[in-house]
Amino acid sequence: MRRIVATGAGVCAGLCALSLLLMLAEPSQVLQAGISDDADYGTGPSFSPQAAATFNGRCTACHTYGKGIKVGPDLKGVTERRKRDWLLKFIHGSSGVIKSGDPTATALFAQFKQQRMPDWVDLSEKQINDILDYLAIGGPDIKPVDERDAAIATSAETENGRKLFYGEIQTKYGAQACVTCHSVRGTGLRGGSLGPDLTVVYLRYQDPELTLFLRHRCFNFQIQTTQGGYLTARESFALKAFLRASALSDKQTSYAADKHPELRKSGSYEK
Amino acid sequence: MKNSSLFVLWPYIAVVLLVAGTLVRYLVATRQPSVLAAEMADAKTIFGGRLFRISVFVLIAGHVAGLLFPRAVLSWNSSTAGLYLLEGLALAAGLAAVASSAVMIWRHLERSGRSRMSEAFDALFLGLFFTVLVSGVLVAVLYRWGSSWGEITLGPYIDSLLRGQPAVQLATELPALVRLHVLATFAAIAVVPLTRLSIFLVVVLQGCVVLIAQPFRAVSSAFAEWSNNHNPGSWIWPDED
Repeated sequence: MRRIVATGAGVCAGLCALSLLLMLAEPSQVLQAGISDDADYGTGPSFSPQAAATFNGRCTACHTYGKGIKVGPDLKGVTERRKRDWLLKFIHGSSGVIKSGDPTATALFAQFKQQRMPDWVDLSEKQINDILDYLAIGGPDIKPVDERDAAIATSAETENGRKLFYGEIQTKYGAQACVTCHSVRGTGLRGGSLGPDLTVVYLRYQDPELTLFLRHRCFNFQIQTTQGGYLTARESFALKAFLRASALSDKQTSYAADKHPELRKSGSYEK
Repeated sequence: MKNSSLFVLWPYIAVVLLVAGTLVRYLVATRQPSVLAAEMADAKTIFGGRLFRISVFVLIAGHVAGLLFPRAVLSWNSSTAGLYLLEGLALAAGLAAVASSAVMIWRHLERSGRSRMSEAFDALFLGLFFTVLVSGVLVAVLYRWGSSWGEITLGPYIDSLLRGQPAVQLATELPALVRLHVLATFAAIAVVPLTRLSIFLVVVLQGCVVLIAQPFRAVSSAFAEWSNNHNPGSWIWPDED
């Protein structure tokens, strides 16, 4: 009887010791995983997000970008039409420039029914320059990185997409690698089979739909990561590029043609 | 009962039945200590077999480790060799457990029991446990790398149950075989106190009670000794000494 009770106590103590050991072992393994910086890869126009926000908050009420005159002039190409110094002065205090008799300012004042632009005195020179830089590289026409067509991805971006797919690089917000549940043909048994095979997903859904899909979690019910995000725009684009490359490789295309003849009819293979 | 309520209520019911049933068995066993050893020997014969015990221990330890340390498991699985090793080991343990439990069921059917009731509950438990094992092996084969995807679906589901905020969709959206594995596991847990297997839990519980009671017993014996040495009776009634 005593032996039985002692065995029970031993099992209990052993379980406690095992739990403690595992708890102590975990942090080092987590540290090894590391997190790659999203800024390490991918290209595309860079601009200050604050500049875009300021432009949207203060300028779009009276100006458009490439959509014609609203209250004031269309700002598309404004950085080519006017000198940077003049723009700085005008944005900071248009009333002063008009009063000084500047011919361009006076002409604009007359052209736009003597509607004077507010003097943005609270904006620093850097803030105005950032807005002008933003407009110079395309302004509101700039597409988010993930909306770019995967066809223009560089080989480095495609390779990063492969690494993200296989979990060789961790996603910034801790989203699990696609390989956890999905596979791509031609990579052996590495991929999971809980979710569908993604070999021809790019051909099936095409670029814009895949972009929208990658902006959401695979499972709507998936618990939020601590950072609250899912994939960064660059990660999403890189994954799209990898899926495109996988789908369009000769071997995969013949596989796709066998599996999904409807894609041949839609001309997806010629893309 | 709706699928979602099944995944909300059933786990809690199963755990309540396990805890309450084990407590009742413990109280009965402490009143009849002579029966404990006999029941233990009986349970060892029914649920014996080294292969069964080792394989089931490996499977349970693996599942518990997966629940407690999901990030460590995912980190381990990020290496292809590590993933194959873990899944291979788990599959081998699962197959060994299926084979050994099939043998156990066969033996159980041949044996004549002490009471029909306990025989029936033992058979029910073995049947449920066999379902758990077979469904687990099939999930491992049909839905590859459960040790990875389980960490982002079933792991958080169990976590949500423990926090008292069940995220049922984490389980209900999974394939039917996975859902069967989960529900059969909770059913087997609920039945445990009614089987002779519960005697193992009683022994573990008794061990815990001994461990917890030890410091209190030490303190109370120390106090008794101190009060004996400082007995006020000796100087209240010195003549009686």
